[in-house]
Amino acid sequence: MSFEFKTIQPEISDKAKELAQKYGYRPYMIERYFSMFKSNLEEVREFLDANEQFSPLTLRINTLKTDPQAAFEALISKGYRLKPSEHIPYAYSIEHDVINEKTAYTKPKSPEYEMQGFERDPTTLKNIEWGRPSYLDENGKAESEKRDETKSTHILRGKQIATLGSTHEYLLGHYYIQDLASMYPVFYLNPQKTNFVLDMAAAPGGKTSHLAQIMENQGHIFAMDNNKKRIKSLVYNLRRCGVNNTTVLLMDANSSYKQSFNPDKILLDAPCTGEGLIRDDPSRKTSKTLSEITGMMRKQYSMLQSAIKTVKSGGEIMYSTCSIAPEENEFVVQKALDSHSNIEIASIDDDWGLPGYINVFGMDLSEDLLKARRLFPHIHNTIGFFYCLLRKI
Amino acid sequence: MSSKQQHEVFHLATKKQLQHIKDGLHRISSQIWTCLGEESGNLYIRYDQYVEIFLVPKQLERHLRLIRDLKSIQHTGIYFGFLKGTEFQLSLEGAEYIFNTFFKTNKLRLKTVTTTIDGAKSFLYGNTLQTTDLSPSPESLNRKDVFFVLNPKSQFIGIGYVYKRDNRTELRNLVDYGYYIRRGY
Repeated sequence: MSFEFKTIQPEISDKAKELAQKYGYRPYMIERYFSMFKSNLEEVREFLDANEQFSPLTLRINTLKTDPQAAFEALISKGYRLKPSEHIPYAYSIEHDVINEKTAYTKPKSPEYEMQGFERDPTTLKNIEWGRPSYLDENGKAESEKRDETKSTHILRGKQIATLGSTHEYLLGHYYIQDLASMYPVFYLNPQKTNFVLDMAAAPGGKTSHLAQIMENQGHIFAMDNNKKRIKSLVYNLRRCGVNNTTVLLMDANSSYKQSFNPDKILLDAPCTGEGLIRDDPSRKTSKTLSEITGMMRKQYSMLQSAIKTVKSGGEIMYSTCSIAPEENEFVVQKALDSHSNIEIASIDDDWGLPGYINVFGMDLSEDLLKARRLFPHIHNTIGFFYCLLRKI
Repeated sequence: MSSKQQHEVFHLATKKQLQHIKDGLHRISSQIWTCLGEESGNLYIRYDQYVEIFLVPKQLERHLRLIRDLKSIQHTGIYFGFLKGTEFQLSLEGAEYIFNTFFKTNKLRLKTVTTTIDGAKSFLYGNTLQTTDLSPSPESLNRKDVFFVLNPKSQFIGIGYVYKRDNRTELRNLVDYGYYIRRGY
């Protein structure tokens, strides 16, 4: 079997149209969710409801720049309540982005307060309702007409991130604000201190700095991106985070195999349509058509092909996206399996994520895709995410 | 791109360039150049708006040789500073490397100042510091001395140089860790 990258237009049911109207999605998306969740209406609703809530703010303490305990205590002293990740070392979710009541509403007097933030203004903080915002109604249902509220909660979310992104510790690179889901592919790629690793779509550098942290600034990382503007952010983030083992290349990932290097491991966090990001970016509910997904699939496959050609024999490729669309994930990997006899899917020691699809949208896929992992907002309380470890034989 | 053109975008620092870097470092401390030695790696030059200098650890050099298009290299190893004409300017990352690798391990003496809490905040905004922002105020602040600036937790936050004007002594901000946020990165 070999996939043809063509657009499959689903027939839209009345129920899908109704939910699309209610939650503000393009109808084709809802119809696809019915297929993905095996026509389980309750689960589709849970998924859509979860998308109405922001993903938790998460950060990773950067052990390249600081002692983790000291950074943890510094954040706690500012009033942040940190909950450690069960799986990823040094990753924390922020339960409530609050500061001490004593210092929140009054002009600061204590020296501790003065060290809290770079631009923290108590008068602004006074009006902020802390905690994870939501615009679900009393019955737990979201209505698409509540868009004004959504806008205001997004402004609030922006302020929360801005506050966390302006502390002295942040400036000194002691932590990196990063979605928890996006830490998984790096963690399971498991780079070693002696490895030569290629990060194929590296900007703005969250995953690259995580790679460097795991490698303890040893080995060598090539961080590649083809966008000059984004590469500036990448470079400055690496510098802020004290990453010394990386070379940043302005290069199209599709041409990486034309170079004469063959890394031990490749991280391909591919560009995607961002269908997993709806909870943080509701505009994605309506911004992409099916043909755009198909177009993205071709781009992703091209990059994966380049990764397969580039990695050394016996080397590994972690393919990931922040999309939940099977076309951008399982279909891309399936196409690669069909076209390259020298790759296989490797197991990940991860019992948290759900297995990849092996039958979806009427397509039967390799059972090996059960080794891939999916994260969903309504199950894992992260953004929607996919990762799959491939090994070159 | 021909090998000559390649050489024009990224290469090992020449003897002349090394001399400029050595002279620049000597103004901060006469010991830095000796400390840097060979184990730290080699200094490479990349041509952009300025002549950028990178300290490249040995383990990185092997793979750098595999890059066919040297123009694609935007950054490597530690951004150590830049040359403006013949004048060397130490970068924030270069200064932090020196501070962590040689000063903290007592291999090197450096001029350091510790700021007050307000002073640290002000410095991270890119501001010049007054002597009242330093705690304790150093006994001698000679004109053009370069100081490594630490916050009250003794964390390195940037570098500054002494400027004297009308009986007033200031520590002018050369570069600090607020730079990235001010630039919008």
